[in-house]
Amino acid sequence: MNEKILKLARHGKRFDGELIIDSHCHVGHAMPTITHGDSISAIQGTLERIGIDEACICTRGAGVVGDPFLGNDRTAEYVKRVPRMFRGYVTIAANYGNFVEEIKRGEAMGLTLGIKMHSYRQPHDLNEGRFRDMLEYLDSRGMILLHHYFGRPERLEQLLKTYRNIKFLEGHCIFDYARLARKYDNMYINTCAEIGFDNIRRITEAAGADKIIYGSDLSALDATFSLGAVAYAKISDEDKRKILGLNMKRLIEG
Amino acid sequence: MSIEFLDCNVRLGRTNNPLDSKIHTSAQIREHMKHCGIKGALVFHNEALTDWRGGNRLLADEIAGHPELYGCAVVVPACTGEYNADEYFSELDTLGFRAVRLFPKLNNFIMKPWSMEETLKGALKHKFPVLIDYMDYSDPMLPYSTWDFSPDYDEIYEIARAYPENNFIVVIPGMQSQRKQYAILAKTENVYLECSSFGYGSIEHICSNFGCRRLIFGSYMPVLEPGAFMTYIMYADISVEEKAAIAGGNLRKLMGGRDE
Repeated sequence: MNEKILKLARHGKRFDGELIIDSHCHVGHAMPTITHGDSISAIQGTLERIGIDEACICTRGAGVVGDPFLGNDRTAEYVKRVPRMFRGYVTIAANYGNFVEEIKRGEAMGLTLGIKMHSYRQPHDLNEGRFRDMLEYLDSRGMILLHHYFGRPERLEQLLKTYRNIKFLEGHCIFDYARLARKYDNMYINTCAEIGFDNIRRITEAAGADKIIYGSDLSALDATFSLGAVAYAKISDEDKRKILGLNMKRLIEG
Repeated sequence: MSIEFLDCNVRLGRTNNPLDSKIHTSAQIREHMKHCGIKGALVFHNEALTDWRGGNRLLADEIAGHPELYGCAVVVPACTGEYNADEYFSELDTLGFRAVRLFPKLNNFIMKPWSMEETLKGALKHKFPVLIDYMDYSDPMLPYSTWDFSPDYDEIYEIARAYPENNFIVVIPGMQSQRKQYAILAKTENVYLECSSFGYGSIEHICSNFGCRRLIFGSYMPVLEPGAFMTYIMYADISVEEKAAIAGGNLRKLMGGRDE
């Protein structure tokens, strides 16, 4: 087994020559924690120091209690300032309406990846009729739908069948979705915050290396936790490269 | 400068959930340490979470002949009459134990100065650092609930101030507990935090404000993946000397240099 990526990590070397795209990042503060150095230049410096080429970002605070609209404005500032490094999701708070309007507003500000949704205090099922327009819009644009938790697999499966052009990217390495990732071309698993022992190898085996995508939860967590879990996983460098960057590149470009 | 990793938080033995002990023997743990590049580890035995004395006995057998594994004994307050701290710790010392670990929540005891005197005096006499683990082992969301989890830092503060010569290592210090962690680092000198479940930028902040000596690498292997936390240290924006201290130098000092 080639171990170039493991060696880089063990020595703390920049991941030069490797494509690293972090698919699940946040910007801004959240109330229980101290967020250090989350200015645009500080986050940029962190990513460059490690060798992460691109970060796909959305707002952080709106996941729990913050203002999602203000959060989208702030997210757009990062994308506008350093477009080669930051790509943005529009955060959609399920308790509101007019979702398509907010997505279009975000797109106009440069948040063109798709949307990010959370579950905290937003216990809605995307199969509800009120989300139909939003899903049809995402489907028509082939966008990414990154969700903290999609709910029960059988409910998610209905969406996967109906909206074949949406790239469904679950947020936190839920093993129950691995079967769906195997079955549906438009279903992807995120490594975000998955630091359980040997779980990267297990999820790769379960869902296939083409369907696993690196995400870190920066700046809620450090970018290196999930990166290290992949780098030290007992899988091939070829699979690590897919997970760390190539798969997300395909989603972004496809 | 080479950076050697010594892990303060490793567990041997099977649990009732095989997902928490995908590897559990001494040989398996040592193989994974080699894969990661971890030179040594303080280990406790899972059986000690049920039967502390019996688990420590099992651990003594597991680590015998493996100098890279240092025993970490699970103990309870000696004031209950369950054991004599000085005698028991002397025995542990000869068996290769280098630290003790307290589970106030799991073992249902009060970790206050008045209840811990005999235990902490014994630990000090034998130069055992005291690891403190507040996790709720009945929590079905472990290990992921460690994001929101927080030890009782008020209790830790009180005991650290009452026993200033003892050294206390808080394991699983809580990913979202920086305001509590930084406060205890500011107000004590003998509390150390396991450098595992922290947020973005915490290593840099702690090194700048409280000194790198307050951080100790620990992984909670085999529940969590050590590579995740090693990467956190190796890519932190701190000096090589600080990384080396956090990775292993600090733990070595707390164990009195007896890891060799």
